[in-house]
Amino acid sequence: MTTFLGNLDESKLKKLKEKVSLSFKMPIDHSKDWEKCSLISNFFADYCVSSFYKKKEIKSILSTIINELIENAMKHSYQDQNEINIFLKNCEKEIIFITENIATNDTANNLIHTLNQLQTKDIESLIINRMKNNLMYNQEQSEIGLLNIIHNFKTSISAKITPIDKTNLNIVEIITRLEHGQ
Amino acid sequence: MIIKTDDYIIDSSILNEVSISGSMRLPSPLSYDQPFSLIKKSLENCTDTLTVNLTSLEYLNSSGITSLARIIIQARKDNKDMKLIINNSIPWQQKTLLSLKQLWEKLDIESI
Repeated sequence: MTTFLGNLDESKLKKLKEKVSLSFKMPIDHSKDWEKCSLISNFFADYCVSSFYKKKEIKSILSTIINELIENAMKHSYQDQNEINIFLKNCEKEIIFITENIATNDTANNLIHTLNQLQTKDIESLIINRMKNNLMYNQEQSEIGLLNIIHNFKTSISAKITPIDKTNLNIVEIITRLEHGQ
Repeated sequence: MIIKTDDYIIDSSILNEVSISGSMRLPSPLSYDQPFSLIKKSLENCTDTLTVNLTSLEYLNSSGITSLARIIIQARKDNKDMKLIINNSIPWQQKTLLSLKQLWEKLDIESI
């Protein structure tokens, strides 16, 4: 069964994707393509920022957000899947980013757990606790990327998780909205 | 000692000072071990407060922030004074790095 998290339903997501301003497919050979995360983030930020007044500041914010989203999709993609999709929609008062990747059930459940925690816990405490745990358990990943962009830039994040029949895999779509008011 | 790549420079050649500039977006906290070894070494050898100047660091991803947090926790354990100098015109620095004070109340953060 498809799971929706955050302020999202099927019709809202469909409308967003119909009006995409920019879309991109990115290969995900982790060892070879990592540097492309930053390249693509800066490109998307430059693309968005052309009509803004405080270009430098907004580019920095957008590049930071997009980079964390792309890194998150790349890190959590199932190993045999070789690309992620990125969509951008620049609206009058908000910018919307959608990342799409294939993930295992465990990864999808971790995302559900994190987004559910946001409903009940203070984000800054969650981030600090994850930082402490990272050192304590010498964890491979930081797991604070999404939390940081929600906390620092007041973005809202929704997700759609669609199981793929007869597999333990899912299509994970993360929708991030950033209000800009310019 | 200085580590210089196409994307970033870490300079620890002055006693009690480290500066990081450029853009650091490495794949995991562990991948920061080598470049941040300069900060750890400077912390071990410091004779006064270790000042880490981040004012020319344009980007640091969440893996890098976690790695910096690890060093701050280490400084707290070793009771070594540490100060971050941050750039108030770089939005992520203002938002993210000020939170690191929650790891250690004695961490000094100067915003310029």
